[in-house]
Amino acid sequence: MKNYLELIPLSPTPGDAVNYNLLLFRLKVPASLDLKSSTESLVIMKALIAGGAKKILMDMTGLETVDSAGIGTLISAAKSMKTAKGEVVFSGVSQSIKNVFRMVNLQGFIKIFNLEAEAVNYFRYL
Amino acid sequence: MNFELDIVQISKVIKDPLDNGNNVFVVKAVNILDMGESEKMWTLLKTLAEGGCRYMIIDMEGLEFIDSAGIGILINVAKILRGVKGDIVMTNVSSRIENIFNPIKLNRFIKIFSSIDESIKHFKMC
Repeated sequence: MKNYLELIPLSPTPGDAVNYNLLLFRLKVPASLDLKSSTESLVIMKALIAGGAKKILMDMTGLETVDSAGIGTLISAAKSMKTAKGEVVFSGVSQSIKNVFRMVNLQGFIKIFNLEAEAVNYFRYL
Repeated sequence: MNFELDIVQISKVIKDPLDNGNNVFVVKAVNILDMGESEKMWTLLKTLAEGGCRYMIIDMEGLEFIDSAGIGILINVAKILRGVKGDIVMTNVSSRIENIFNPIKLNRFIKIFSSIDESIKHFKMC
């Protein structure tokens, strides 16, 4: 399964060193986040977080179904990000997925934005 | 610019899905790897390598142009990965690109395989 990742620089950085505070990783979430497919996203996110990424935006425009294992991976990723003093946010969540998230009160734990630009703006001034 | 990422398990018997000794990261190279374009690729590969990724396959199917900066990325990532007893290999290298690698004997430093399955077989022996 293909996972799409994009690196968005929030501001130009001088020199060769990578400044993870000014770098946003945009991960495109696959069509379904269930027991089978969610581990791949988790492996990628854990590697990014352990590697120093501080800002991850999950683009959920393509997400159609999510189950408890999927929510578990999202929480697990957000948790390890919080210990690394970074943040994970969602954008482009459809209404049906939002309803699932509301039931487990996920929006209190992870910020959800309607548009990608809003999320990028939020990270810019974080 | 979107990066395509794929996770392949070496052994199908999964004990711990987050164990990076069993996960191979397949990264698809972008079509141009030169001084201007390769910075994001370097950031991504470095982040993954420092975040615990051990085995990496660079799929060069779409690669059209590479220069010394792009080759430098491959060598630097190979150095990081070999430091943690991992390895990096390349697949689907076109003959035109291989001609660039031949004079500097890059194929002696980084192994080239014709398909992803063969690279996985190589990692099994590691």
